[in-house]
Amino acid sequence: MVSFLDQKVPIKDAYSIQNMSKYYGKFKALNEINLTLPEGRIIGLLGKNGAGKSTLMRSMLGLLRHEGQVYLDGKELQHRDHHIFEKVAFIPDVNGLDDRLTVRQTIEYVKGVNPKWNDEKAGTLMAISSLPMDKKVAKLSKGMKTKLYLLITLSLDVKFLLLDEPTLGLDIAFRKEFFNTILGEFFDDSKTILISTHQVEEVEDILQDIIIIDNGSIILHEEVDSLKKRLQIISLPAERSEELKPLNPKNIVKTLGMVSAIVDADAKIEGAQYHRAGLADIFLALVGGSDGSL
Amino acid sequence: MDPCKALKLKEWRIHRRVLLTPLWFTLSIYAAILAGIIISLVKTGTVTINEAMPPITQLQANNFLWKANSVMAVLLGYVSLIAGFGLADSLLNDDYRKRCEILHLAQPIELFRTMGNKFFLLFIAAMGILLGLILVNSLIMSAYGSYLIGANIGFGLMGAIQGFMMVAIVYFFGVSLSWIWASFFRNKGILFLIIAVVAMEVMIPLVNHLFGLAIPALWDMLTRFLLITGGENCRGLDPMAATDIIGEAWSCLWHIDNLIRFGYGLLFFISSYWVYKRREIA
Repeated sequence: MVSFLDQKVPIKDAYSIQNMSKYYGKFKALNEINLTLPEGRIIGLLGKNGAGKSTLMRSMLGLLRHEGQVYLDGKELQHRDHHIFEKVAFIPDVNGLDDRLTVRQTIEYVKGVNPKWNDEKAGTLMAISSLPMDKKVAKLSKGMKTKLYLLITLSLDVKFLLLDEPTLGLDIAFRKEFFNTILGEFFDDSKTILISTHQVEEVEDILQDIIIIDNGSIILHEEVDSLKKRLQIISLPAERSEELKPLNPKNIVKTLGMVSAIVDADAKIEGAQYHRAGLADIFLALVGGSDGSL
Repeated sequence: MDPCKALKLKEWRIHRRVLLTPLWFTLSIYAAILAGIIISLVKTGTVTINEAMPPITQLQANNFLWKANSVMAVLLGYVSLIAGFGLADSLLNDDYRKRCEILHLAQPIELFRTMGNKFFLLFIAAMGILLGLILVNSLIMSAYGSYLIGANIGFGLMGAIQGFMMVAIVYFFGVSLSWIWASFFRNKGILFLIIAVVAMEVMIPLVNHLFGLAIPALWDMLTRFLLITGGENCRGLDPMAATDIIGEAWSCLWHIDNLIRFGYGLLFFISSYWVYKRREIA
């Protein structure tokens, strides 16, 4: 774990995870996770496939048994604790809907079993969704399924929204629409969104905080702005690549006669070009780095 | 909408085709009879049903109608039971197989309510449908029996109701067994049940032989509780007056086997909650 992980001061402890570990047989899928998700943030949970993103989210929701504790607004949560869902909504992926029901039946069902259902919100979302109400979910396109899952999730008055690879397999137009809808219809400063994805670029503009998980361990948790201010990309002609080494660079990339690397923002080399580091660059530097730390 | 109503409605919408298996079975019987009549009409131009019956006494007629109705009720009950075996597994595991388990279980509703409403469909709704079908069939059979052999309709109806009550207890035991098994196994629960029974059948005689024990065979136990063995457990009914048959059938309902069926069924249902609650939802 890197030193700046603990520099962040949570606005208010809301969703807190302490010493969470999860084993699948002998395989350690989560390794002593400690995490606090404050209110009013949009947080990206980034990691490669198999890094532990889904396991972390499902453990946070009490769907998986694990070691360690999870607290929601100060109350410790247990395995299969239904009270979690009074405050948290979850979208696993668009295939998680029940294909055997129609759109109308799905909406009626969630409205019936979930006391957090807000008719006013649902009405607004329904008006803009143009979903075929009497069509079976199985017959919907992936985009329509996304809209439906969004509708039934965003119609709930909950504090936390957990999204686990929600746009997997969707085209770019739907992905944009998905995140715009969430920002427009759900997010405010009392709510928190945790988005898990390995498609870093698509969430870069909306994230306030970033968590990077690798091999079941959290290797970065920081505000996106501070991270971007702290790091930069430096580029030099390929023949000057040796000059990068004293700066302890990560993920040196060679392209078109140039070498680029992510280094601290205050690093300077005469004649070098400097660029703002994107989340994708940082993500690659971190999870693809030789020693896994920045 | 009340959460319990929403849960029941959802299960009904998804599983109604299986739940209505006894209705489809009954309709297929009626369709076969209708087809026979139509074929007869087409071939001969007339419907000839052999209504020639040997002369029988009123007591025999009433006995016959009681038995015919109770057999009909038991037969339909077993059709329900076979459907119920599969339905128990579907109710607990189809959400997992259809990859929508999280949608249903990530709702702020207690697990015992979720499971209770599923079991409501499996037992109460199934038995309601079965009773309705049995009563309709019984009315038709009894009316025809009354017309044909002069039997008292009341005995027919009573036979149907008592047959239903006998089979309802067997059904409760049977589906509870399937239910707890389904709570253990997400996939191929019924197959594992069959394998387990066969394995136990092999193991028990072996253990009895090796250790000098007298553990009863599992298959014998299962057939004892899954089959209606009124003839063995209760006195013969043939020579009795229909009123005595009815009295005897009521007392049979309190037979020790039925109490054991009910007790085991309840135990299986309650235990399944703890098993199912320990499941991980991935």
